[in-house]
Amino acid sequence: MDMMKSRILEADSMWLEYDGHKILQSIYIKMQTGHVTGLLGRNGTGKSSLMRMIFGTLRGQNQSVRVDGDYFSHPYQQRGLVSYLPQHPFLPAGLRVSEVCRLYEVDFTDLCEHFGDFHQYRHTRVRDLSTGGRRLFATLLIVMMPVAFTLLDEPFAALSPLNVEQIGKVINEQKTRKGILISDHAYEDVLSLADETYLIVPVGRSILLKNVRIELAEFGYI
Amino acid sequence: MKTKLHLLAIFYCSFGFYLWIISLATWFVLGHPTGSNLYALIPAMILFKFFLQGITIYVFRRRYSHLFFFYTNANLSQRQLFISAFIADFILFFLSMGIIQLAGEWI
Repeated sequence: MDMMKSRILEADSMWLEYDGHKILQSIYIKMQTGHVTGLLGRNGTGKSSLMRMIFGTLRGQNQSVRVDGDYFSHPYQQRGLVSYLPQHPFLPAGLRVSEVCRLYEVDFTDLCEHFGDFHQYRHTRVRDLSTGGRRLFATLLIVMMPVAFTLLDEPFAALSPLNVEQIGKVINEQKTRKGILISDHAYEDVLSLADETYLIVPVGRSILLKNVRIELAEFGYI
Repeated sequence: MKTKLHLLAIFYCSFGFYLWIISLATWFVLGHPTGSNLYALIPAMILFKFFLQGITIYVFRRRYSHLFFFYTNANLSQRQLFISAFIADFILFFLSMGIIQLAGEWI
C-alpha cells in the first residue's frame, strides 16, 4: 500500500432539491484510497441521493466530483474509477453467477475464497439464489470490482450477522487498494469499519465527526 | 469492447424479442403484404417502431430503473444502452423484412 499512490475523491457543492424542497446543500465528502468512510444520517436525509450524485447517475442543481483534482461530470463512465451498490436488486435475474463475475472482472475463485459456499453456485442463475444470497453476491461483486472507489448503500441489509462479519473482512482487505464509502443503518457495523465518519443532518448538511459517538448523540442520531 | 458488446446484447435481449414480435404481428395484422405493398408499408412501420421504442424507454425508466445500475457499474450510460438497442432493433427489423420480401419473391 505504501508503494501505491493514494487517490482522493472529493464531492462538494452537492445541491439537490425536489419541487423546491431542499434535500442536500453544503455537502462536502472526501474519500481516500486506503480508507473506509462512513456516511450516517436519519431516513430521508439524502444519503442514497448523495451516493448516486457522486456515482454520476443523479444530477442535482449543483455538484462537483473531483478525483485527484480532476472534475468528472459522470464518474461512472470512467473505467476503473467507481462502483456503486444500490439498495435495490439490480442484477439481471437470468444471468449466471460466473457470467456476472466475468462481466464485472471479478475472479470467481477469489470470491469463493471469502465465501466458500459460493462454489456450488457457479452455474446458478441469479434468480435462483435466495434473497440473502443475491444481496450477498451483489455486495461482494461491487466490493471486489477493480475500481478506485466503491460506494455501498446499505450493504448489510438482508445479511445474517455472520455474513456481515465476513463482508467486513472483505471490505478491510479491499480498502488496501481502494476508497470505500459505506452508508447503513447498522451504524455499529459502519463505525467498526470506518476510518472517518460523516453525518448528514437536516437540511442536507454534512458534518465530519471528530468525537463520533458523542456527536451522534448530540445530533440526535442515536 | 467484447464485454461492452455482451452487456449491450444482454440489455437488448431483455426486451428486444417483444419489440420484434410486436412489429411482426403488426405486419401480419396489416395483411402481411409483400413486394411493392411492403415497400409502401415500411415508412409507417418505422414510425410505429419509434413509437414502440418511446414506450420502451418510458416503461424501463418507470418500472425497471434499478436495473440500470447493472450497466452503469460497467460504465454504460442509459443513452448508450438505448441507442445501441434501437439500432440493433432496426437492423433486425429490416433483416426480417428483407427475408419476408425474398421469401415472397421466391413463392
